[in-house]
Amino acid sequence: MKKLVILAIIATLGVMSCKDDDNGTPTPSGEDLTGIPYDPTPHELTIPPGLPSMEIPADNPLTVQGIELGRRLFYDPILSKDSTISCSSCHLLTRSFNDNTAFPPGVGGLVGNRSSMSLLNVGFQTKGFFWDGRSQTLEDQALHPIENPVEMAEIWDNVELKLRRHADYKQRFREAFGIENSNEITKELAAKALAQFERTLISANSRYDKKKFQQDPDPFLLTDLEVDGQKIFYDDLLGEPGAATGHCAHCHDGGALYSSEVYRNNAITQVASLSDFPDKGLGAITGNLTDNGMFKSPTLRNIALTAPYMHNGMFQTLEEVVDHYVSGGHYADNVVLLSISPQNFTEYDKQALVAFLHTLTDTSYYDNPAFANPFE
Amino acid sequence: MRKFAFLLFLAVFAFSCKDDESPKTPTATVNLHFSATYDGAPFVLFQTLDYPSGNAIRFQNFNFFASKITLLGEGSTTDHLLSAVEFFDFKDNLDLAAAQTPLVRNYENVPVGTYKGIKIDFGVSEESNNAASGNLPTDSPLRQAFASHYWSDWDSYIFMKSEGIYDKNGDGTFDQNDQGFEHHPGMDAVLTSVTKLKSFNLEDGQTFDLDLVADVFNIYVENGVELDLSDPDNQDTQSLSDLPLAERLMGHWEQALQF
Repeated sequence: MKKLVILAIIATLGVMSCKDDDNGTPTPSGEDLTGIPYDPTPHELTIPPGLPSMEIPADNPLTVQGIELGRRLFYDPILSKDSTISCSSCHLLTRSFNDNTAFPPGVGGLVGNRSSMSLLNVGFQTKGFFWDGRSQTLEDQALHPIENPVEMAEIWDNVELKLRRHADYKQRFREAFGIENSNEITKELAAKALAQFERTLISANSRYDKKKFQQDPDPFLLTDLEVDGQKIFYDDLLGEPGAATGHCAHCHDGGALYSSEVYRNNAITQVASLSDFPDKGLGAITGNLTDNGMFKSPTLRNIALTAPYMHNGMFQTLEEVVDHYVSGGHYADNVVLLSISPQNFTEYDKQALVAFLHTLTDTSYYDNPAFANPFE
Repeated sequence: MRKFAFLLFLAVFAFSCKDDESPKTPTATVNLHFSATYDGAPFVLFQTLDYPSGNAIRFQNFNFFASKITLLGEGSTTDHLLSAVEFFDFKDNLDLAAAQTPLVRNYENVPVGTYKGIKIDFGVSEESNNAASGNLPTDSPLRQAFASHYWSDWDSYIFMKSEGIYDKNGDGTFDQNDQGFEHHPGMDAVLTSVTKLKSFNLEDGQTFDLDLVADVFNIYVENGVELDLSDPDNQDTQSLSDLPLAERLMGHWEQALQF
């Protein structure tokens, strides 16, 4: 009988010790977290000149703890099926939180049919996320890649289990959101944390930012070639006859956002009719025929760092992109034909435009420890 | 003395009641309905339409800012500002049913009285153009349309976007040989104030439908003469050199707005 009692005690202690183990199985009743202090610290964003106000959802205010949790989730491959892919796998800090492949590989090397998008200044966007705008909030956007079979290929139920048995995450979810029990860790809270981190990814320190929005008095901030490119970009020609007009800003303005957040068919796909786009883009979401082949105009901030270009990564260089737009591309009934029509550009015009695009590069955030991988 | 005290109590009670029952200011609700038409017919995007030149035209986008939307009081009724700024976008006018459904804005607590008409500025004010975008309330139409309608090079909002394609070669079809147009007038100089007079009464508790129509045809045609869209000078309003065309198009709001 004594042996039985001792065995029972040992067994009980063994189960209890597993409860806190990172690799343990959560008990059905979860773990009481109320012993961990919950005192979130509000985080105030500083909006640089040229950027608009940012909408912060009332049910997801920015806190130091929420942002830090989001940063950890962003860089942690725990969100993927085989712990090989994190958000940062396709959104690299040194690539404008984008990457350099047409179709970034997901779990098992599988690829989709769209390029990743930059996350810099993503918190200012209000017209939908993804190339096709299918998510209306960052919180919703953050939910999708986890279960996409060509991205993280995981299911949220599993992710929730992994997070609920992870000692550090249990504590961080408690500190960020005040949950009282580890079973209250949900995909919604994880998405909120990711969205909080993403809202802090602000960049506004390119040479053109300094000239246009920070009124930097340095007269040599931009070269003559870059200034000419700026005029082509914004169609700012003051009536010079025959001067090149790029019409670029119709889709890439929005102050320092360099994205007008519009959905356009940019004439890269030749189709017989609007029904024939292999990737219908916005049209697949809205069901409107005239939205077929339309994709969101991405930010041009750091565009020089994010080749290849377009939603399908079909152009390798900025020169190829400019050549495409100058050629006029492929007509379809939903192409806005004035902006995308053959242009009489000289080689100098093309060089100037590409030179201007390089002035939108901001790498100053590279050294921001708040953006960095916390596991390195 | 007891009677006096009782009367005093009653008086105090009566005065206190008076404060509680102060008369409510009579107000009404105004539902502003904004529709778009083309030469009087519902305006449908991507639909082939007749242009006075005899050639066809097709619109792809039409939207605009309306600011300082004000009901003009008559007699003892004072003017009432319904809205500082609104953004009307007819992007969903993709079929007849949608085109027959107006865009609606609701304004509550509008003082009752007799009004003689409405005044609207098409575009936004100089102050709005100069305001720091970082301070805009996130629910403001100026913020919501900031990315798509703030033209950095002018330091101004684009007041109206009218985009489409004109059947330049007159073959009845649209293709790459035809002419696109993008009219994006903006800048302080082209802010256009329009007043339309039509008397109406607002009564206490009433919900009043105020129906406005923007006729796109009248943006482009004046006294039967259309804007020649085959002329390169008339195809866009992007640079300062296009200011005369921007003024011409915005100036047509006087005839385009129907009330």
